[in-house]
Amino acid sequence: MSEERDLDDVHHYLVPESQVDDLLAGREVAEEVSEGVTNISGLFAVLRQPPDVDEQMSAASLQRLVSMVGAHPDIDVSPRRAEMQPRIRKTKVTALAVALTLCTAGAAAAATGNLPGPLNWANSSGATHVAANAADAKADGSPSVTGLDNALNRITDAKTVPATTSRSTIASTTNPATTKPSTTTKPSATTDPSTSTLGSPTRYPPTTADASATQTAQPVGPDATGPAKHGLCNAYLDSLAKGHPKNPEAIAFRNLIAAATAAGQTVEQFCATTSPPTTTPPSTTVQTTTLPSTTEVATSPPSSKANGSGGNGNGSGGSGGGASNGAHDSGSTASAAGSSNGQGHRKP
Amino acid sequence: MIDGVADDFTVILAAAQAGDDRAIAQLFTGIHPRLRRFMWSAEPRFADDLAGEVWEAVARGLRSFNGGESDLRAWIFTIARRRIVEHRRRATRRKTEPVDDAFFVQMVSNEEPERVVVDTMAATDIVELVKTLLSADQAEVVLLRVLGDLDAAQVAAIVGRSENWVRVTQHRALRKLADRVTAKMGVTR
Repeated sequence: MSEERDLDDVHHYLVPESQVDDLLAGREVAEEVSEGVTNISGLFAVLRQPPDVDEQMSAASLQRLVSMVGAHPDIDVSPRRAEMQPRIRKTKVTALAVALTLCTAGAAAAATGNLPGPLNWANSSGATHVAANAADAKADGSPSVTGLDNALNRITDAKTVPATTSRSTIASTTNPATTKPSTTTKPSATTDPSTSTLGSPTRYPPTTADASATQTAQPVGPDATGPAKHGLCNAYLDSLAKGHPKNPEAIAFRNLIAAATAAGQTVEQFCATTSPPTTTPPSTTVQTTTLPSTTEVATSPPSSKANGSGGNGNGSGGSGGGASNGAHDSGSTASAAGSSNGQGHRKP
Repeated sequence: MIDGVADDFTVILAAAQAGDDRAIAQLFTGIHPRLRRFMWSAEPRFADDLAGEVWEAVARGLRSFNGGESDLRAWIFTIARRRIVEHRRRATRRKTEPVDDAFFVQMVSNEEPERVVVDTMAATDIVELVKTLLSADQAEVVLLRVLGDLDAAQVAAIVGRSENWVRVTQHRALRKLADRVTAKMGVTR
């Protein structure tokens, strides 16, 4: 209905401009008013009348809200941000996990001489699909529950189980099979705190919205001294050679730098020890640093080695997602680095 | 104005932010009936669910709130409107919603809304009447102003329009209400 048409049928009772604000604000209007104004005033008085019994907030609801106020420290977060953060975080984590998986998969395939071009495309399509699923899972709303008590019960129950908001919970539980990166991420950070001791690199950073609930949940990243070392070194050194160094603040590479420092070495020296004795001197170009990994793969079962790298890559993806936005960019460049690595191997 | 909260709003707010249950009760229970009526005007079947979401968000952010009583109301109704918009987006994606038979009975009974205006009217009846007589924008503006006790500038901020647009809309809404209600039968309180 257009507003122009609205004007066609309102000629009888005009409301003076001076009385509009008084009417709407519930103030006394001037004594000399039209019948229309009087009637509107009556309508609005009913709107403002005291609540019925079923409109009042029950003591149980109030008690629950009081506990909510006490449970949340000073968090300056707008409702909109709090609503969107789980979705944004989930999408980021999923996309980063897949990107870093591609990175290590590219490195592994490059080592075996098989560049996964079509596979890369398929994987990135899958990443988009998974991310979309993760975001759309929120659309599965809950059934209508009458009564503020029940509504608050449902909200708080949903929030106490995981350390995230209820909608992210719904998202993670409704797509258990399709959102593989997501499902490997969410349970470890939410439902099973014990997994944090496994060194699982699948944590994500707490947002301000759920900071109070996840204060102890910090991303741990992959173990740079363990099986993830090879993949981390490949990604790190190759990115250096290409002039796009990795974000040193990303948890995965922070771990790598820390491990190298703990060993009293530079990262290049530290990474050189992953290679067989024929390794070339550290701090060199891509060719010199990646050649050893070629020989290493050549002397070991190719398929199992590649699979191992892929697994580590998944771990790196999770931690990268937990690190920052910058890690997202790192993941993308790392994927490209893996491909270029493979080309370098095939030339000799 | 929040029922029972007078000039000492700042004191009550500070106590509520410190977790005092009586202060929180005073703030919340004063606004809840009108908030629920507003939710009911937009989504009658989900009014309680949405109000619960609003209060949960308010409880979560109360400690960081800074402002006066009017600001608090504006903040709460801003959250409320956002929840309604989000709910409608979700509902659009769900495509189908189960509807009770009573819903259709109510629709039929509203064909001539003026007949609803009788001596004993509840607030929800008035809300329904306003919704039926006015366009969606007009009804939203009027209900935000009346139920939220918000001024035109606050309503403009909530609905994302200019203050002038709000003033024009509310003026047209009042004229239409005055004409339709009065011309038909008048209103008794």
